[in-house]
Amino acid sequence: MSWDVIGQQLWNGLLNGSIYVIFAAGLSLVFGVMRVINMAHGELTMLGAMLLFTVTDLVGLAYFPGAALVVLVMALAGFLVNRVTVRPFLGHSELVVILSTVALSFVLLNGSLVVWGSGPKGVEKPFNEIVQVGGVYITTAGLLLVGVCFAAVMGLYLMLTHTKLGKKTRATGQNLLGARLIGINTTAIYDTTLIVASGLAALAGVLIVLVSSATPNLGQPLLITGFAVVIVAGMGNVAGAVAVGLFMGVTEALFGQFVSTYYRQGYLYVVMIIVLLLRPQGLFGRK
Amino acid sequence: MRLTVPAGWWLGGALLVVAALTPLFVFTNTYNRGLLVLIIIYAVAGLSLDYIMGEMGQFSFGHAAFWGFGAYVSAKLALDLGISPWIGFLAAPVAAGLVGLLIGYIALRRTRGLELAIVTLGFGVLAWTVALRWRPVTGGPSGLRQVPPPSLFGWEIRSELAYFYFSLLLLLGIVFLLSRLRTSRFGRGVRSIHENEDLAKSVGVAATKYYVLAFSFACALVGFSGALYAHHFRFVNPNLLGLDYMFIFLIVVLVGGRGTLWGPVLGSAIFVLVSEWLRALQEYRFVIFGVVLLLVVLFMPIGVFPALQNVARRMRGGKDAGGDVTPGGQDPVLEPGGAG
Repeated sequence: MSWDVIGQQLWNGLLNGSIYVIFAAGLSLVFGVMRVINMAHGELTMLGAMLLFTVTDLVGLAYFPGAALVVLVMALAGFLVNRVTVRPFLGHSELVVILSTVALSFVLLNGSLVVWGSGPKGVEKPFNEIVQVGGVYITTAGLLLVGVCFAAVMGLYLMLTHTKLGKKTRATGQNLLGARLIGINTTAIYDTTLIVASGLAALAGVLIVLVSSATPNLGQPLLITGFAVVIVAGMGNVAGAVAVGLFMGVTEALFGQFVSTYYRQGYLYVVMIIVLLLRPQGLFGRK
Repeated sequence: MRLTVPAGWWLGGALLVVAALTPLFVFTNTYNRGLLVLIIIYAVAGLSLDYIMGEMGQFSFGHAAFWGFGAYVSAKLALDLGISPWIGFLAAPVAAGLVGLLIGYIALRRTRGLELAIVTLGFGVLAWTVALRWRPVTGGPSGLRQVPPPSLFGWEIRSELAYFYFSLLLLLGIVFLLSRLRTSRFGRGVRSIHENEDLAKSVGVAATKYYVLAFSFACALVGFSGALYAHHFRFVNPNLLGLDYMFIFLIVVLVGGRGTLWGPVLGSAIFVLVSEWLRALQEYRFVIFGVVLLLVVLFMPIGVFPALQNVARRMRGGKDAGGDVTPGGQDPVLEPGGAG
């Protein structure tokens, strides 16, 4: 084994990890604020990728305006996701919300299969030069992916910590009743939370096509990986999800290279189970 | 104590009579009778998942993994060692129960509720990965074929009709067993933890021990259902451990009605028949299925069976019981104390 191979896998891991980060951040945000497991989060990412394919390939938009449009539309769709599949069920058990979001993911996944078919679709990348750094091949599209992910996560972090909306959001997550008592419109916070989460999910989708192709089946594996990240980080802990997402992406790539490609996804879950045994609240969770 | 037969048993009994007669009058061809067997297999799996959801008030996202595991155990014993499926029907629940004991011990010591859901999802995906990749043992993606059917005194239970009545009898036995279990000391203990874990502990219920045992029991039951599947459809593959079946069992329980014995049985019938009727719509059927599911959850969040029970009660001049609607602490304004 050579350093080049390790370097290449580190880079590949960074690409995957960046996707995991914004995917898991959205999942974790929804869980942290609303105590809702959004089973359709993976399909929102998938829709982001598929819609991007449609607006670039069929409508003829360039990548950047297309991606911006898709993320915007999907963010607004987050409002509908909340109003149709989450909000009506909040009075019931938490399980009912799982089922309603499962139903949504059913509709989105199978609807997409009807519309686009199951084959992978490539999207025209804005630029795709290959740069050689040492022995490691780095694509410019990949650099864009990593850069946008970091920007998005920083944006989310600043929004949560430095804006009034962010403070209200965190307050709602900490204590729903308390937040209502001090006059926070928690309904609006729930709407915003799903709008932001849905936008992040779609952003993951439009970024994925920079390094791989769009297919209606990309949502479910991503959702499962997202859960592993969220639980290792500590449920509802967005900052932790960022660190763990990167860690998981990189170590998964190294594991795939040096141990076994077959058990890559299994690896994530072994990590998850070990963390749970040693630290059930997650690495960054508080008791 | 009341001596009148509860509405649930009337409805359930009616359901069974209808079920027992349908293959003779309605489902007369082999294919349709196969659907009836599938209804029973899903019903058993649903009943076991409902033991976790309805009685424990918890949720396992890895339940299909135990189902598939049971199927593999029984199939493997029959194929590799030539062991009779009857032993397999016993070995599958024992094996699934033991694994359930281990995983329940790991997961239930610390996690509850949604955390438990994701932890069990993790175990489930891990099991699925192993089934997919451990080719020498599991047969890899294509699984194992030619699983033998059970035979009784040299007569193979091969026909759909025979297998249907055979499994219907088992289903009846399982429903009876579950109804006894619910009212037993153990069952009441489990129920009390569901209602209020701290309170249950304070009166001496060993909460984690009860929960781990109850979880293991549910895993054993679903493992049995898996063995029923393996010896009827005569193949096993890694998909049996995957999320698709997990969703099916979830639909069976929640559409049928959580925390009711007959709910999952009805839910299973609804699921199998509706998805069969929608087959004509080809690829659109899953889209429509999702919409139907959403509507059912929206208008009957307690499930179809409790809704029917309420109708029956109202016809007799009684009041709604409301089914098993446990507010998950979502709205503290309505439910001080959260745990109900």
